[in-house]
Amino acid sequence: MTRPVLRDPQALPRFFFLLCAITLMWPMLILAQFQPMALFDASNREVMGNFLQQFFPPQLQAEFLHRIFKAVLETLAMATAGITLALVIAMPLTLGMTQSLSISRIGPANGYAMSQAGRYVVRLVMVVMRGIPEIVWALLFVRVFGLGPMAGVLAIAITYGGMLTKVYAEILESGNTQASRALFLAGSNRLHAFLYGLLPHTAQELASYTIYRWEAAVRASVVMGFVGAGGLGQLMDQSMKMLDGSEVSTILLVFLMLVFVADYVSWLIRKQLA
Amino acid sequence: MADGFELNQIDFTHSNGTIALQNLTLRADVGEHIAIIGPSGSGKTTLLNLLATAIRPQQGQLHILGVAPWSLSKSKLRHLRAAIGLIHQVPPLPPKQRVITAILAGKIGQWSSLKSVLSLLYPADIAGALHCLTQFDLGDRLFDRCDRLSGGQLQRVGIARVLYQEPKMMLADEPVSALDPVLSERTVQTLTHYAKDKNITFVASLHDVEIALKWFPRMIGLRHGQVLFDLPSGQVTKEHLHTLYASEMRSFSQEVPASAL
Repeated sequence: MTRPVLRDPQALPRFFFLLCAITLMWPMLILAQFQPMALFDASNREVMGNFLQQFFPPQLQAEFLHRIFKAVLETLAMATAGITLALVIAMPLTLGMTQSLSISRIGPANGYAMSQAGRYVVRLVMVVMRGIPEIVWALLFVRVFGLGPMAGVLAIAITYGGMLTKVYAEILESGNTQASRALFLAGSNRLHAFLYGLLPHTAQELASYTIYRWEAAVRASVVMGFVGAGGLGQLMDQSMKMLDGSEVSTILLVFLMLVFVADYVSWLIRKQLA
Repeated sequence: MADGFELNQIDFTHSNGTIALQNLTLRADVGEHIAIIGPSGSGKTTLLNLLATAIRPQQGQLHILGVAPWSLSKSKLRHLRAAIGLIHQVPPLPPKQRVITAILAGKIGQWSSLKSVLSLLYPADIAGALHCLTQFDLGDRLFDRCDRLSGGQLQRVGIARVLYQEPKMMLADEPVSALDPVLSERTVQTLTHYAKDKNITFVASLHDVEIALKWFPRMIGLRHGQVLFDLPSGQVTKEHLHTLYASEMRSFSQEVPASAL
């Protein structure tokens, strides 16, 4: 009979990892030239003040607002189409990649090594898809399809397809997987084990992340507008080049409103799924 | 070959190195009702998982319903699994799922892919699910969400799902652990009647020895992953049970300090 221990045996390793984290973080902050006090420097304050001053008052001419309205529609269409395509890419890949949806893991059955290898390949493809920034994909597609939203849509679909797959798989693996395992043991296939066993308790999180990605896609489509993919970004690019701060601030306000709406929609859907 | 199951010199060791079953040889014919008893950690759950093809033995031969599961193709193994009903000790039901969906899920291994998906939009077989649930006095909870149910009710929903599955072999891991004595007995009765009706093999692990003696004609006592006895219930004596649970009693009396008594 061993004597009961009155000390937390995990304390020492925990302390060690904390120390490691701090010693790693410190040089990184220095590398990143992290100097928050520079923000409050007198001369810097003046420069920033002047920059921000141009933004006021926002440009509210009817003709400009009309142009913004069209650009907003284009941006929303680009983000929505991009996310929809990303979903089409992500859903089958998620079902294939998620560990907790592996039938051959039970046992493990013959062919488990093969299916693990397959999962590894999918994981690699994901890394390539999301490892290359969407702006690079956009620059590539602009050369193929010419200026316009099409390039932006495809760029979002690829990068975000990769991100969605990764996070979906993690959400599905972190939750309770007893239900899906039980369904496999009753002869269920992968899709049904997901629908009946995993979706009920992960739907909220999956929806919330998808909507957040849509919000991020709206932002990304603005950035891609700078490289000629159309929408609000292209408009902003023009205003910036003409040094018209009031136009830029109107665009930013519209932008905030979009994010606000995304937030609200996310809340509505989460409430429905609760 | 028996169409129930046949285990031949099975060894199973958990991934952490604990030996769960050692040189186990057992067989059962179709329609046999078997109770497995034994102290905690004796390998009861492991044995049931083995029969449910949830785990694969490192050594020995295993035949379930006349086939060797681990040499089957993927789709044949799925078909075999659809024919095995496993009642889990902790019902594996998502809290946000409705009872009706949880029960209908018993048949998704047998339904067409389209039917399973459409059933999520509108339940494919309300009458069938209700019939299974009524046998456990829960007919009025059909459209409730699982998280509205008590532990005992949830356990019975888990059982109802397996009845709905209409398995060719039924396995139950402590199926009545969350039920009071009266309900326990009635539930076991329902299960044995069902198994008799359909002429299927039924294996249950139980910690209530009296229920096991009363409702199961054959009893297997497991200890340290080995069969201590395998007898018709009428031949199980007090000495058998005493030996089976002996180590537990001794270790408890040793560990409890005198001051606590």
